Amino acid sequence: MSFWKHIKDKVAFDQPDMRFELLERESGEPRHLFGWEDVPAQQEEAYDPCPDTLAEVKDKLGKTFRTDINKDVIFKRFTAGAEKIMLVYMNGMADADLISDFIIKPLLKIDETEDVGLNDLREHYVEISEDETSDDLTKIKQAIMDGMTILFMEGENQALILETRGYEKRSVSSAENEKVVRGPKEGFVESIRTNITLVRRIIKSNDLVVERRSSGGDNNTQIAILYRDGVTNRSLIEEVKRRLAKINIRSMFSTGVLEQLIEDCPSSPLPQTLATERPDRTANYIMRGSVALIADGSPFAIIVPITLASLMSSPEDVYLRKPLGDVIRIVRYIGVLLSLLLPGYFIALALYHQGLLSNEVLNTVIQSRQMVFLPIAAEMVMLLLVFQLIREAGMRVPGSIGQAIGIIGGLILGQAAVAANLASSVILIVVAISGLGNFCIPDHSSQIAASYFRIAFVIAAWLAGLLGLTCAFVIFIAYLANLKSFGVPFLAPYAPKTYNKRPFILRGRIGMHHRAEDYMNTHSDTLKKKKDYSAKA
Amino acid sequence: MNLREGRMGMLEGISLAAISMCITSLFTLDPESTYSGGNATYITLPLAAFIALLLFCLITEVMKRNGYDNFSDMLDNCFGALGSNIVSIILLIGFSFSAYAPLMRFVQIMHGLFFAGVSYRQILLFMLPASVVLAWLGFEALGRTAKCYSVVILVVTAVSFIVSWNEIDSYRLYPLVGCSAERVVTMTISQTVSFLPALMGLLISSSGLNGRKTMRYVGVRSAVISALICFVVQLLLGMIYSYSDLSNLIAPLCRINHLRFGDTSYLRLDKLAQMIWMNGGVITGAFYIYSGASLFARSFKISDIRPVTAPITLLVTAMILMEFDGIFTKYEWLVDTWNNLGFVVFAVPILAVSLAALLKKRPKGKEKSIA
Repeated sequence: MSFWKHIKDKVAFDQPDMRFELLERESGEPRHLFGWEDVPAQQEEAYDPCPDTLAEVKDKLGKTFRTDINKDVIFKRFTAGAEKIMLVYMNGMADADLISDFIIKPLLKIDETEDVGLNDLREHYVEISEDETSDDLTKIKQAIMDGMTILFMEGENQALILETRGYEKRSVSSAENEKVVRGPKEGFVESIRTNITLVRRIIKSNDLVVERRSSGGDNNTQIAILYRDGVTNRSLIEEVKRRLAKINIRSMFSTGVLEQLIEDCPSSPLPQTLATERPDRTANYIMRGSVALIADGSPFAIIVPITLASLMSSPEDVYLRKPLGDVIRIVRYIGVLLSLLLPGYFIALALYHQGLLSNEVLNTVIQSRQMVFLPIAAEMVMLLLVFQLIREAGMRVPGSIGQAIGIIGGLILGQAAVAANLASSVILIVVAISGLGNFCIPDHSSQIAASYFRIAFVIAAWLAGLLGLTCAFVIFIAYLANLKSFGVPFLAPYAPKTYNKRPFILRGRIGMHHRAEDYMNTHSDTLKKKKDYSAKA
Repeated sequence: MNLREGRMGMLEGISLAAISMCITSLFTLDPESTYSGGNATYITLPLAAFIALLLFCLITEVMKRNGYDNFSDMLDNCFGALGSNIVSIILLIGFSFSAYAPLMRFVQIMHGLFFAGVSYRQILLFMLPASVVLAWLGFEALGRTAKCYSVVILVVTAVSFIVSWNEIDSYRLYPLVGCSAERVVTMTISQTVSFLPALMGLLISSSGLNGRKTMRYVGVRSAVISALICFVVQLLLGMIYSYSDLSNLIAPLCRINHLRFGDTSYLRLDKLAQMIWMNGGVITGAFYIYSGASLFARSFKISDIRPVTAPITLLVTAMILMEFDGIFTKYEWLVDTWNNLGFVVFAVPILAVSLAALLKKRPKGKEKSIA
């Protein structure tokens, strides 16, 4: 994009609002606004016919994979019966034992006088359960890179693609960042096949569809789109595909990159997709009508669309009984409010509205700050930055050392800072409480976003006390109100209030979770509502 | 066109309109005139809401009959392009005054109660950007923000009255219906200016409310809710303060917490309540700025609403600064005229356009266009 076009897109007026909307009109049917276009077909690579001689095949593939310098691609030639065979596979990506035991050995047993074709090999000799024939060399090349073994036969202009993927991968282990006390422990791994299996193992519904696409420019990263056919809103699925089709970058290795490429407002601090490493959470959202995206090489699934409530919910919530789940959620929201507003509120009171503090508290603040040389707001900003520093250091250092850094940073640095008159104990407590509140936010990206907002609120309170703080908070709420995730308002189901009675903050009864999320206009809900209305009529 | 309307639900629309009506009517710009000669506002404000509602129902009925989607279409069809432009400019001035009133009031409150040492400009420096950002983000964001704040504002108001319950005495209501029936009628009619701009805002942005039918639903309910809240609040205020006190207080609602807990450390969140009401004022100002800009953009076929919000904001800013610099005191008649006859700016176009639409031949099949 040229510089001027970029600037024009950002600031120019007269740009029609083309945002995708997933809303219910007065008529009750979801419709598209502003002439939103259908998804263009995914651009497919040109068909490349497979040659019928092995020499030609080897020559073509050799040029593609630079086999003169690249020794990873293996060409294994042998004779099976009277036929000349060539196996092609990527060393390390395909399982050599599998190829030897179930492809080569059975083929070598064929009698020399026997005349066999490619279909005979497939049906009677090759002992691989998953196979496919193709005459498209483009598809064959992709299959080789994915770890498949390709069987070519002299005189045949098609090849047999055999499932022999056997590369090294991490085994399924517990989810590191979304731990729960009750509930499944397993988390996603880097293999897309394993991740799809993990979700399929949970969702037994026959309407679960897994569509595979390659995206991400030259890298051709495999992306799986998971949704429930007949339940998930069709226009949402098409919008997801449209955005995936629009991706045009050199390489994409992670869902972290993918989410930035498909979300509504990538420059927003708050994420508009939910990244989870838990198959059970992914399955839960899919069952409710969301779309999940899994990318090869990433141990996270992306859920779209999401709301603020999704970012604030933890998988633990539904595994606990209602009163416990409700209390935990209330505590979490209080924590978030403390995290966002407490430092700013304290600065506003200390600088502008001392009358709102009792004499005792005011005396404590004054005494604790007597020797501190920094202005109180600068001290607050500095300590918030130090807190972020400790947090970042703790996260980057592995295992128990990271935890130790957090404790040492918190205790020793805090104590030393107070002793050295660099910080006052009251401000330290305020920062600590707001930091604890920050950790109540279950989503990692939202935690970082909250840190930015907190500092903005402190600066607003520093400038104009409660006036600045409340005005900044109005803008913050307006920003949330304006944000959308794949056409779904970020504050749903509170604003707009949606049809089902599931509460926004409280977890609600499990019985309320029987329906899909209303704000996504799932087809099952549309049908149910029509049924309800016709019954009433 | 990019009018940044989006689509909002009924509760958001009701919250937005009700907050605007309540804030404009409860934080009046001229308490001296409002409470002069006895407190009858608990009668006049609900009656004013009722009159505004009648006008709103009249125009929505005409819109239904003739099949107009929104107020701007109706203006275009009834008065032609030139007439529509003239009416839009008049209404734009009306909306600017309507935005000026709550913002000015809260700037004065902030100045009087919190920041006596700073100028209006410095206070405005924080309030106005919030309003402008809200107006810039559009109708949908405005409605959702209003919904988030509606419950908070209601709770804060209720708590304020609960904590000052002991101060309530019915004898302070004397004289019960103000000084005279004539004055009550005059006040009722002039106070419709507190309710008409919000209802007019709904008429302009009816497509953002999912159509005419929902817009009417939202308008009726928001007016009824506002009338009810105004009645309760003004009645309780009348029982807490005498009318002579009320006419001297800059913001009686902001003072009621202070009555009981002013010298104690028991309730120190009372100033937060004032901040919450101030946020209501910011939302109200933003809604009126947006409505004026929306009407102007539609009428003059400007394809983006955002550039239009800037001059309206400048106009409102200039009016507040003129007040601060004392320029308005030279033209006090202007403010008085707005307080007494401001309703004309909204009521006359409503009546005129309704009459014109009724006299016009009903377009064939147009009434079915929305359904």
